[in-house]
Amino acid sequence: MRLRMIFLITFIFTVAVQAQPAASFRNNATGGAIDDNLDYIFDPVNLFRVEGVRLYTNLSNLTSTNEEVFNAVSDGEFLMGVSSRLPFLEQWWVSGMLQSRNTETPQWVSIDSDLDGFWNIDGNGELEDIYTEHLDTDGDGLYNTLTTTHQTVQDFDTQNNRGFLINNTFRFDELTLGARYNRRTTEASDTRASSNLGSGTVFNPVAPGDPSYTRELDLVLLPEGDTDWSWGDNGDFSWNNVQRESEFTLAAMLPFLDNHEARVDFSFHGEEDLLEINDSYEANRADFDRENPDHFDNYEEMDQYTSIEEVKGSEMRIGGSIRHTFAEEDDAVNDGYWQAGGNLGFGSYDYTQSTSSPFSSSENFFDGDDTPANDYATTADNNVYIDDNGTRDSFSSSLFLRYNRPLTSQVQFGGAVRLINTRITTETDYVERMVSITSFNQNDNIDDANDIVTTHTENMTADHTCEDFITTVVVPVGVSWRYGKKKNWEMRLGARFQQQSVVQNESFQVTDSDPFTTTTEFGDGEVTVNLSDNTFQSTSSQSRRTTSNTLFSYGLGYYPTSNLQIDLLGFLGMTAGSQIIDADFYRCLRLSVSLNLD
Amino acid sequence: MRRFVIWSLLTLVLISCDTPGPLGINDTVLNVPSSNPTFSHELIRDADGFGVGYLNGSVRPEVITLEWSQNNDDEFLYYRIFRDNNQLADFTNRSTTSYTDDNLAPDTEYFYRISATLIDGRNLTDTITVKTPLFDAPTSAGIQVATVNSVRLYFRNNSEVAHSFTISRKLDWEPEDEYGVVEAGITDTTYLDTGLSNGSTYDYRIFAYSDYDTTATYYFTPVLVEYDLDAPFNLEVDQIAPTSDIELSWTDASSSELYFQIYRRQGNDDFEEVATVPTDVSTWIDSDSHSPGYFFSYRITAVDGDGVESDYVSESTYINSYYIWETGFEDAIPADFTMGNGWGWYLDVYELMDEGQFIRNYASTNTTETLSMTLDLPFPYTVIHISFYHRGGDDGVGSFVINGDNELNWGYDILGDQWQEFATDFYPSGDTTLDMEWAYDTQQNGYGALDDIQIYWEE
Repeated sequence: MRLRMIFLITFIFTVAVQAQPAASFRNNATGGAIDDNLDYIFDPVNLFRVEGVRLYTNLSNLTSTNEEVFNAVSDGEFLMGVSSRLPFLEQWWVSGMLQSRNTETPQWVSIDSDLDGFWNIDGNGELEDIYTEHLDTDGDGLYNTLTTTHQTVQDFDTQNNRGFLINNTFRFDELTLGARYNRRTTEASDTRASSNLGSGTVFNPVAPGDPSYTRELDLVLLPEGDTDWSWGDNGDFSWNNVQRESEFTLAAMLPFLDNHEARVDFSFHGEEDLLEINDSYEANRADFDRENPDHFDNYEEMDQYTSIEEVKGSEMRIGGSIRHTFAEEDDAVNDGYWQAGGNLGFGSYDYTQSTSSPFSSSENFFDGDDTPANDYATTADNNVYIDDNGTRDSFSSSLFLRYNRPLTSQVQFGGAVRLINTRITTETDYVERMVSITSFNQNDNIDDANDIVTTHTENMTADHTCEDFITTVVVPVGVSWRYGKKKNWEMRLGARFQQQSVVQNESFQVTDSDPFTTTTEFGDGEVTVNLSDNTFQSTSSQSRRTTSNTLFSYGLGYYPTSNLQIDLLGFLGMTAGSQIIDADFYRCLRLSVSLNLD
Repeated sequence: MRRFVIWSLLTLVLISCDTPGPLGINDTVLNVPSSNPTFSHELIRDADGFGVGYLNGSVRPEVITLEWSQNNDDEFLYYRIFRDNNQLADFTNRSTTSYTDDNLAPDTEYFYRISATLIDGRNLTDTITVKTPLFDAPTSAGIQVATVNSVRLYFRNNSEVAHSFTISRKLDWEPEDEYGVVEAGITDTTYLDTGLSNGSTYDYRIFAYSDYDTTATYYFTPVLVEYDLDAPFNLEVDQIAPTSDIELSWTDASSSELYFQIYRRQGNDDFEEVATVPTDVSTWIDSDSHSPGYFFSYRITAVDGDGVESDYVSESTYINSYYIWETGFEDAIPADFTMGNGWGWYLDVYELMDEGQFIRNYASTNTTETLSMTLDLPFPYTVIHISFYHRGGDDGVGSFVINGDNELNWGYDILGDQWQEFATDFYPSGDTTLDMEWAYDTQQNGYGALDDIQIYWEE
């Protein structure tokens, strides 16, 4: 259920912001109460209200609004956006945005060359080391042993993000139609272990956080060159998180009465969130006896941890609103208007969570003599499976009321109320299974009580239900006013009050339980079965949390020409004690530059 | 329009205020087997015992084979079988529905339990108690030298399942491996071995067998082939007074008899056969009713296997006493009693005098409880011996009346609360019946008790 909270937060966010791909600095600075042209560019209806050809680059700081232009702090993402009315089809407006990020980051790695418990060499990304020892173990001046240790280690983080948006608006007389398609993919992966692996029989077991590696250790007896023992192990670890979202929106708007507009939105939102872990570990050990060439003792083991957690599905949303414009300004974003509306959303998802931890080992021992009673072969196959698969349904409803009014020709006031209700229900069938089979076979070609196969099993199934009820009330209030001789400076203030109530129910209803059972089969045919006590519990829990907070925001806008807009957000410094005369003050500025190519 | 929007917002707020409750959970009930793993009881026993199992070999002296019904549940895990609550074996294959338990002891009861267990641990069981058959070797019931060249062997079958015997023989001086089978498949418990040499001594041995098992071997006492059939001697005949039973005892004087023939006569009547007893018996009790005042004479002869009788020995005894009526109230109140109109009498064990029970009246207040009886007398003008025990509880006084004459005052007021014995010789003159009445006058919860009433005649 790690994805439960991720999904919950994503879901609330997308509903709360009405699936807006990006918000302008002006909108951010006024708590979401007053829009800017950028907020209209990605709207399938309001796009026609934006005049000119607008160009948004990485200077626009739209990826997170947290980039610091003068401090080399960035999201590392390429961004390009544009909006314009088509030159030969004047009733058709188009906007688009492209975002891309592709990174591979090496992590610090080290190698303990002589396996004494302390690392000897280190670096970033990938290392390889071959360490050789010729030792005179008896002090007679002649080398007795040759030890060779060959190790590799690698650790990289990758982060790939891709986003694409295209928005179209058509006007047929008074009817306005809009269509928007938005797709975004986020991938993150690393090469570190996520769990404990290995029994420690050959080398130390793997701990969470260890990087992928290989290790070979051979000891050769000199001067004959006979191998005394050969040990090796390797770990191949993979953690991968992929999130894919796509949305297609259709919208229509029709004026009625006097300066009233009725609008309908319909959107299809698809989402896939996958967290996949594939960790595997192998180890082997071979011991020899120079005095007895037939002797051998071979051991090998394999340990794996596999986890898949996936949410995949879609949501249908339908919404409608009425807007009345009572004061038209030169720039539509400064119009006086009120707008009221609501949305309904119905989502259906498949939820999959599956983990397995297979471990297998085998050992073959032959003492090299004709004493079969001393020779044996053992095997072990253990696995623990946990499946928690089912469905997730969501229902959301929201109502909003926006009110924007130019108080004077320079002062703009905006306010809004948004109520959002969301219910998410996840119902899964929880299955936990443990199977362990061990065998001991005396290599004497006689099936008797010395040959033993032991099987351990334990199972449990349960109905797992999670319910999330979220009610959010958002009340943003903002004001902006232009000043300066040319009225090309704009100061922005905003306050955003939000109260959110979250109720989380979870129940775990056991439907069947098989106790820890040991079945022992002896070579002579006798079977014994031992059952442990069968204890289990069903639980139900509820968590209720209500929070409220008010976020104050501010910003500054500067319009040096009609083709250029520069916005600052929270520009009075993020660091305590930072003075306006400090260089840090300027380096930390969050700056957005928008271009109008008209 | 604004009013609609405002009311919609308020409605949504009200709906949002509804806090959902926690999810409900229930007890989890695990699956249980759909049916018991039922033992095949019909293969082991029926209403008459374990003969079915003995016959079909399911129950043998040291081996028991159990079968049970197959469990067909999908979640079947194993059968587990117990003997006397000790685990014997597990079977994880559902089609394994039989088990043979060996190294058991004959003539012993074993308690078996089988469970069918599902993978969740729930199980159902069935039980059965099985008795292995007695399977001891045959033993001798006597050896008779039937003729000058034959011996009749008598033996007992000491097994519940053996149906045949094998007898072997050798001369007493021959080594052990010279035993030769005289006959196998003998189903009777006597065997006449012929063709023997008079004056030789033979060793016999025998074992029994069933369809599945063979008993241990029994060795008879060596037998000398020497025919001898004489009358018993030392015959004694005595009445077991005051009953009319007569006990006989004698001494065997021959080695060739098969049984003893007993004759009896009353007074001067003719002798008639009354009983035969086996050769190894030397006492016998004649429990027939013998009339008092008569002589009874007995003769005993020894009889061989061919029916030849020896001379007889005879003796007589005279019957001079017998019980007319007696009770110790062991089981019930005899029907001869008639109770009066009070609260009545009942059996009790409180402060019992001897084993069994006694009779007492209810501890009522100021009532007279009576117990009366009338008996026919065998001989007029002779003395009748009457005795009984009495006891008074707490308070009250009793009386005992014979043919209208008071013979005894008893009870708590006179003799306290200890058991007392009363005995008297009553002369009924020419009366042919005897009327007796016990009465107890209760006072403040008092009660009377009686036990061991004996009425007998003696010359």
